[in-house]
Amino acid sequence: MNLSTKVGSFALSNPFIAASGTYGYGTEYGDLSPAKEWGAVILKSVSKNPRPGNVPPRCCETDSGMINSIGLANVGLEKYMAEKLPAFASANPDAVCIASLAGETLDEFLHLAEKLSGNSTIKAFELNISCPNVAKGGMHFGADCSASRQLVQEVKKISSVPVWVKVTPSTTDPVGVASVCAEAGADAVVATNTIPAMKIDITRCRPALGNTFGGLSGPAIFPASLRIAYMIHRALPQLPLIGCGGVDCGEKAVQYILAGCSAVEIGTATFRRPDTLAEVKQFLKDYMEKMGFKTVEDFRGLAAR
Amino acid sequence: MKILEKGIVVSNFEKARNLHFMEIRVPKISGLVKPGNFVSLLPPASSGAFLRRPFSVAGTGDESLKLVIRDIGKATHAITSLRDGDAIDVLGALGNSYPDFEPDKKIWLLGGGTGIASLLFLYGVHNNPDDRILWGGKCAKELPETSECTLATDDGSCGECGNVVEVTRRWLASDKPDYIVACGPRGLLKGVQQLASEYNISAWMSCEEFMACGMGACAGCAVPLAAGGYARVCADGPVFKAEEVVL
Repeated sequence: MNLSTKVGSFALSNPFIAASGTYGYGTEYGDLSPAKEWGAVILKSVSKNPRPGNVPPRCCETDSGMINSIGLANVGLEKYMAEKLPAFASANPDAVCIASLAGETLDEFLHLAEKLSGNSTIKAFELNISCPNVAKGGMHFGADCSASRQLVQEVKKISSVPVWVKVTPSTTDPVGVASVCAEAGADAVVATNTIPAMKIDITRCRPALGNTFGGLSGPAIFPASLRIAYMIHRALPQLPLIGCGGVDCGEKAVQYILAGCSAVEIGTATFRRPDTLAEVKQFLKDYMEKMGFKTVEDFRGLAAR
Repeated sequence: MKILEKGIVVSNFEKARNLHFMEIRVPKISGLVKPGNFVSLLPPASSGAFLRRPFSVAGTGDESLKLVIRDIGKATHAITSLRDGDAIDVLGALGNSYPDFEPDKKIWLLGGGTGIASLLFLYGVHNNPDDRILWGGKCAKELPETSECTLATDDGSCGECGNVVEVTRRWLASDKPDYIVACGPRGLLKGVQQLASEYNISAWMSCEEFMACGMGACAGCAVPLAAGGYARVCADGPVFKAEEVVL
């Protein structure tokens, strides 16, 4: 069975991509979930300077998922390039690696794109536009169409690899943001990111997370994320689209493809079952055989027509 | 090395109120674990719990692991309700381990609640008759009968009267170990940190924090470091030098 797919012109051996923030720097899972078995893996978001991350507790469990407020903890660009990327390449010579870029200003995003553009390990960028935009008082880039447009346009000018944009569900108009990103030249849109959420610890009588709010992920968000992916595909059928949010089994991954996605990111489910990828790939093979589909493209978007 | 293995429950005894001693057959993982390591169990689906749960290893048996689990929530209730022969998904060996302490050095192992688990393992492996292992709890109902541990209860209903830190302080009036290792609630660890500094004793502690991946990938289980920044309990720990972490 041929599981290969294309996100625009970007070819993947299978549609499954390890979501940023859940797969570390690509070496932590080792043989439990080898990077080369994924269509691609997206490393933890990198920022210009190291970020220690948010005050703990940083995560808690919810019904059918979890909330995290890691705070983009990362080693910073210098160590990322000097240590993390070489370690990834050495451990995973056959894997496809994508960098998730996180900036608090347009200049930070551009600095990251410029420095990483020529790096042979990085095959694409995913812009994490859920970052607060310091110049706009902390408003997310992704909630601001003009900021998103400028960001994508400027990154595209200096990037030698495809630029994907991970849109946030924290906007009243995710289709509008996706449309702006497409117009600005994004090679693909990823729909979507975690959903803002919170939990209160009734013993301590305080918010459960040190940062009060976090991002909800896991099966709980699947239907909401799928809706956004579906809406974006209906409005922009030519825009390469990647589904993300709540996939913990093959059946949900197939739903994203039927909604119009060429690839599907998987993250939180791997925490629960490090062997999720193997199950999801097997399900896809069985499904395609049962339904008589020869390729992913044969059924991509069928539910949105 | 980390392995995902289908474990089979060999035994499960409630040795004190809600406190279970479980043995799970995992031939591969049991050959990998060292004192201080933990494993993560996937709670049975009936529990409704989404994430895996981490447990320090309390020892090894015949191709098996020993765990000490308190039934305190939906996940631990489902796990401690498993019967002999039931299957459970086990991931391990995770985290770092205690140092290889010199055999002739005297260690005091100070545990609170289920924090005793990794200390029981270390106590057995180090196997020095001069070592002392202290297990504290609120009252007699919370602690099992044991021949190897000295018990301590807050209300004096069994063993020595007082919490682990208070009892250790009494011991220090007439004796002193080469090393201290501790695991338990935050208050216990803070008290041990203070004692270790006051008496100039090298100490290690196994920390606990809510975990998502347990593999070092998500940075969710952060513990503040005295030197600034954070460490991941699951991958940089759970064992830290006492003075390294801010509790």
